[in-house]
Amino acid sequence: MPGLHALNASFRRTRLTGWGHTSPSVGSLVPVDVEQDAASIVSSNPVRGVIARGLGRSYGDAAQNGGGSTLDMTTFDRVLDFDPASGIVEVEAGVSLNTLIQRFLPLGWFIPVSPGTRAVTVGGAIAADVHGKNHHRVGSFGEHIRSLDLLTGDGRLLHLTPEATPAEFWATVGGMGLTGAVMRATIALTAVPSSFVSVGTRRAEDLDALMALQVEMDAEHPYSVAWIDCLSKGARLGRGVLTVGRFAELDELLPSQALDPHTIPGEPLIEAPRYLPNGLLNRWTVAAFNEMWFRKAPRSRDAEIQSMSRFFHPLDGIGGWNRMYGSNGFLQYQFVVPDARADVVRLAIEELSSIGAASFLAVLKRFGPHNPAPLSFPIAGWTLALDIPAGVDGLAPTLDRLDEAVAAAGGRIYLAKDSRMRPELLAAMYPLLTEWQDVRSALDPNGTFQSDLARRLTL
Amino acid sequence: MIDSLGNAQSILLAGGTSEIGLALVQELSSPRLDRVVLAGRSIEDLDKAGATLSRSAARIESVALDIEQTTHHDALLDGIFAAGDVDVAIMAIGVLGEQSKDEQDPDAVEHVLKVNFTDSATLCLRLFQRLAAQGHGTLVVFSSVAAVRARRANFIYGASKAGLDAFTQGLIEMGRENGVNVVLVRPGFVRTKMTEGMPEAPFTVDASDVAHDVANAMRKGRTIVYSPAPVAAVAATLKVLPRPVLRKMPR
Repeated sequence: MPGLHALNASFRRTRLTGWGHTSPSVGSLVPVDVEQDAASIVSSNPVRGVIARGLGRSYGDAAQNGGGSTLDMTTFDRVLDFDPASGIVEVEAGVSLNTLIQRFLPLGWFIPVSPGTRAVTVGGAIAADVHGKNHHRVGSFGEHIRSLDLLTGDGRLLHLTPEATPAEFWATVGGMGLTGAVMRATIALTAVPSSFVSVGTRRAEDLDALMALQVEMDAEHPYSVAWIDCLSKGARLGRGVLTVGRFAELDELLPSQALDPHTIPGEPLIEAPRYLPNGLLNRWTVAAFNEMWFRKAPRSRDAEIQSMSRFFHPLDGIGGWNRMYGSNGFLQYQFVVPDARADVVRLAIEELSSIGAASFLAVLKRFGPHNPAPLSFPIAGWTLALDIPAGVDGLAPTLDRLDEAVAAAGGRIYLAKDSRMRPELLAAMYPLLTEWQDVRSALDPNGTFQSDLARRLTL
Repeated sequence: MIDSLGNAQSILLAGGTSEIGLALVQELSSPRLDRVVLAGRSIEDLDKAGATLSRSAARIESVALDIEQTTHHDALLDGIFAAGDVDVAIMAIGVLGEQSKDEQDPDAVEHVLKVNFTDSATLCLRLFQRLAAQGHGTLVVFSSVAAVRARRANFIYGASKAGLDAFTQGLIEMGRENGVNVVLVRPGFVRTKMTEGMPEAPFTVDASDVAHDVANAMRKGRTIVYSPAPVAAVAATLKVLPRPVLRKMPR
């Protein structure tokens, strides 16, 4: 009988959720300080398996494992080696992108790909194959990994590289932690002239104008992203603000900035209150915010010097901002469709706007080409990401309809954000799914690596 | 796994022919629902009940379960859970008995108490243990407003449900540490086969109304549900009513 006594009693039973605070489950949380901590759990044939967890920024249930074990990798966080000539750094998987920035930006090196938050571990960034504002230029995070060490379900430690072990390497990139636990990685950092960004801003009055602007400006700017007002309707549907940027040269800085051209970001400026009511972010408050945000943006401005933090990680300035959604939590809906099917972006905005699904964080971006990783999310085309409170009426059937439209258009849903999609659509969205499953079975024949996401989607 | 929008992938109904239980399964049906297990005495009746579930799960299974054969319960549940996680387990087994006859017959009283309390409570615990072992899940237990205050007209049934009710309140607390949401339902008078021919009480509802209220409570994370809602006020009143007044109340 699989009773409570069967659980790994020596570790703390902990309730875990993703960043969206939905679908909690309880399991053993195992702190990993040294490699042996992880290896001994994995080789103990743990009940209901094991998954690695970093800083918990996946929105859904990717980094939790109800009834099983979850490796807390955030204490496995040493920087092991750095070559100041090439910018190649070797780290343990629990090192955060924030740590990499704090340590290496002062030396003139930036992370090659930055998602919207610095609070992501290297292991998590590989497992979700995260992307950033420069995807159209440099691809996703996994494309900048030179090698990684993977702890597999049968207790082996494999050294993987894209050259020598391409199948295993690319199955791990974007593999949601299910091929094994990434223990160490070697990353190629990017040289930057300063820690300031020269930013261009354009306001667009509707979706067509916004998309046209983005196509035009992506060609010249390494970093590009658009914020969309998802509650605007009619002729203003999809109005938004495009921001583009590149790291600023020293001679572009103010004298005060030039004194410390590689200044680094501080701690969060403010902390969201501990308990906030449900429904704080509703269609009216968000509409007011969106109107203000849109009006505040300049119609057109160039060469504005912003700090790295403000440009890349504006929400890191507010600690625990996910609490704004109250105890009901929220989800992020992010999909990508090929360039030719930009109509699905419009459909999504229309459908969500019609049920009043207020999203104050709505982001539109163009991706460059796909990499060889079977489960990596980005494919060439348009990606739209929206944060939506979980309590909105009619949300489930609306998102189901949008999933169908995305799949039919040859697009897909981002697994690191997912908390609700239909398992049946996965194979259509990720045509290389069975190839990935073959590699995973070979790496983990007993299915030791498990997560709530894997069980929910029968991955 | 119950997803971020509250949709379950698998449901186990103990008391697989219970009208309220089936109504709840129907209410919880969504495109996510993949597996429904109906457990009850007669496979034939369960199959018939399963056929009434519309737009429901891809797979509906019937499993023989006799509430009084408690020594079989572990193996039976192990079989069900081995095939996959259960997101929602519904405990909807119970007998009403016949108060006026049963109160003369200690053996009949024992049967009602055993089925509704001890056998039901141990089955609830067995379900609870398995949900706790998977680290997530919801256990719905049907008590009754009759559990709130003993009354002349139905105290045998009331006593049996009062026992289960108190036990379930404990499970609610235990569940907080184990990731199991326990929902205790206290319906008022519900029109079903079980109550057919009985005079209806105020606020009488249909099984589907109760199911709707329970599903709502699950979404909102509430643990004790009166259905329909005004029954909560009725229960609160019954609890404090002086006995002489209580005696004069109809039914």
